[in-house]
Amino acid sequence: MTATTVSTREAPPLWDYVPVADYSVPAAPIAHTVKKGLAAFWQVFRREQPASEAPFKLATDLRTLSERQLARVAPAPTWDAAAAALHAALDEWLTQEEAAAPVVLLVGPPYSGHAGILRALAERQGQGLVEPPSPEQVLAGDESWFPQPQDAGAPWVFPALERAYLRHAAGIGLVRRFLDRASSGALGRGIIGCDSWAWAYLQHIWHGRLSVTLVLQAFDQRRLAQIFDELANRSRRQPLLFRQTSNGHYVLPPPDRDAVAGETSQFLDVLAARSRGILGVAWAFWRAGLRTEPDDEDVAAAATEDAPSSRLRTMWVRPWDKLQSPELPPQSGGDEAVVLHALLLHNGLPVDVLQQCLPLAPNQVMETLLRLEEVGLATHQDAVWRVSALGYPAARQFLQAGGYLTDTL
Amino acid sequence: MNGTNDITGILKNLAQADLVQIGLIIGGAVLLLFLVQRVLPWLAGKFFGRIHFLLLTLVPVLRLAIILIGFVLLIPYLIEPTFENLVALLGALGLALGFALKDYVSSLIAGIVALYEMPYHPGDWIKVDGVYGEVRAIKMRVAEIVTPDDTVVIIPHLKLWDQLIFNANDGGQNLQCVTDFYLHPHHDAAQVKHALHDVALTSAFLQLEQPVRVIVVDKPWGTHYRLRAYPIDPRQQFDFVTDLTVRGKAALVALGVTFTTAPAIPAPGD
Repeated sequence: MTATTVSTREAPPLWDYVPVADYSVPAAPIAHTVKKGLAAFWQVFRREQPASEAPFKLATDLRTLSERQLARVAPAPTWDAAAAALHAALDEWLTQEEAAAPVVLLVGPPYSGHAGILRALAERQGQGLVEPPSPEQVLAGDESWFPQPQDAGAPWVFPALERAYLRHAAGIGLVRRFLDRASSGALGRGIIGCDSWAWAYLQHIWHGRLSVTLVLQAFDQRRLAQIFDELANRSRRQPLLFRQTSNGHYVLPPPDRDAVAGETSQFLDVLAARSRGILGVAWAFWRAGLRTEPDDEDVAAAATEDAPSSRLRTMWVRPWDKLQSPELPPQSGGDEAVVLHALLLHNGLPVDVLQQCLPLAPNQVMETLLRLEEVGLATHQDAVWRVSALGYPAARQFLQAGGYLTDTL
Repeated sequence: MNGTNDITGILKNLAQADLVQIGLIIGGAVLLLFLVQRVLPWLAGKFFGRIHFLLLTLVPVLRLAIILIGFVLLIPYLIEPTFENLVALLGALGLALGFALKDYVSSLIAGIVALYEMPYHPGDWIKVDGVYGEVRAIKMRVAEIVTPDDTVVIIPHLKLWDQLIFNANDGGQNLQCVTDFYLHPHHDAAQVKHALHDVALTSAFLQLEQPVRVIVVDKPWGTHYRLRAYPIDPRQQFDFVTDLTVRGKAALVALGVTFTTAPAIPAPGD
C-alpha cells in the first residue's frame, strides 16, 4: 500500500439516495488495479492444484478478534439513520395528496441493507409493512398477501420484491400481476424494495415501468471511513485508532489528523472498489481484516512513538493484499454458475426451493452448495442459502465472465 | 534463368547456401508452430466466452503467418531471387502440384480462403454434409469438428467450394436452439404459447438479452410448437433443449394439454 494524503474535502452525506443511473461504483487505485491484473495473468499460467492435494488451511491467526471484540469494534450497522435519510428523500412524494407515481422502488445490491432500511422506515412511520409470500404461495399464484390501499393515502412498504417470484415456470405470473397492479395504482401508494439482481431479471419478464427508482449511493472511501469510525466509537469515550499491521499507516483517519504524524493507507480505497461500494460486503471484509496486534514489534514501537496520545487504543488492520477472500475453485463450471446465479437472483433460497428451480439433480444442487460453502462463497442461515458477503465480489466476477445476467449496480 | 531450361538450374548450389541458417529458419518455424498449436488452445481453455474464441481463432491465422514468413525467409537461401527465377519456380511448383496433388492443394487454398472469409471459427457449431459439431481446430487442409457424441470428424476445407456450410453461431455466443412440442389440437393455444414462453424465461441456461419466440403451426396430426431461444453458452445447447423439454412438458401437463401419441407420418412437403 502506498501512502496518500487524507482528503480534506467536505464529507458527502452518509446515506444518499440517488436515481439508479447516478449510482457510481468506487474505482480502485491504479496501482491496485495493475497489481490485480498481473496477479490474474499469473494465475492463468499457474499449475492447477487438485483440490484433494491442497494444503490444509490452518485458521490459527492468534491475532484475530473474538466475536465479542468484533461486536464492540465493528458491530453491525443499524438502519435508523438510513431510514430517516430515505424519509427525507421521499418527503415531497410522501406529502403529495395525488402522487404522480403510485409506487417508489428502492433497489439495492446484496448486503446493501435495503430491506432492513425499509423495515426501519415502516416502523418509524408506522406504515403498513407487507410481508413477502412464501414460495408455496408464489407457485400457487396466491394473491392474498397483496397490500390494500391504506387509509388517508399512507403508503405501504414491501421490502423484499425478490421474495415474490421464483425462476420457475409457475413462479413469475404472480409478480407480474403484482407489479401491474402496483404500477397502475390499484394497490394504493407503496414503497417497494428489491434486490438489484432480482430487479435485473424482473425487467426481462415484466415490461412495465416504475417511474421512481432509487438506490442508496455506493460507499466510497470517505463514507466507509465515516461509518466504520461511527460503528467503532459509538459507545466509547476515547476513540480507537485503526492502523495497518504491516507498516502502521492509518487506515481510518485519526482524530485531529493535521496534528498527527503518520501516513494514511489506501486500504479503504481498495475496500470500497472491491466491495463495489456495498456496505455489507465492505463491513464483512473490514471485520475479517481486524487484528489485535501488528505484524512485528518494530511497527508496534513506531506506532507507539507517533501516536497522538498514549491513552488511545490501537486496532490493527491487515493490508488488503494479505487479506484472503473466497475464490472460485479453478475447475468450477456450469453447476457452480447456475447455483450461484439462482442464489443471487433470489437473494438466497431454501435448498428445497433451489432444487425445484434448477435443472440439476437434487443431490447435485446440494453437493454444489457444499463445495461453495467449503470455499466460503455460500453460506446458510435458517435453512436459507445465500452467496456470502465475502464471496460476493468473486461470484459476481465469475458470473459476468461466463455471460450470465448481472445486476447493474 | 541462368541460360538453361532445366528447372533445377535456378536452385542455388546447396553447398553455397548457409545450411545453418536454413536449419535455423525451419527449426524456428517448427518451434513457433508447435507453440502456437499447443499454447494458444491451452490458454484458451483458461478463459470463458469471447477471449476463449478469440484465442482459438488466432491459431490458424498465426500458423499461416509463420509458414508464409518462413517460406519468404527461405527463398533467398535456395534460389537467386530474381523475377524470372521466382516465376519459373512458382510456375513449376504450380504445374506439379496441380496435376499430382490437385485435391490436396485445393484444400490448402480453401484453407487460406477460410481464414479470410471465416465461414467457421474455432468454437462455432457447424453442419457440413449432414454432420453437426463444434469446430475444434482449423488446420491448413482440414477443419476438425467434434460431434455431440464426442466423435472427431475431419472435414477438408475443399467442401467450401461446393457444399453448404451451416454455421449456427458464426463466431459469436448467440446460438438459437429450437425445442419442439407436438400437441393434440384441442387446447387453448394462447395459454400454451404463454406457458412455453415462461418456461424459456425461467430456464437457468437462457441468455436473457436475446429474444424468446414461440412459433405455432397447425398440422393434420396436431399442433406443432417451436420454442426458439438462446442459451448463455453455445456449449449448453443440449442441456438447454433438455431443460426446456422437461420443464415444458411439466408445464403443459399441468395445463391439462394432451400430447400427440399417434406416430406422425407427415405428407411430403409438410
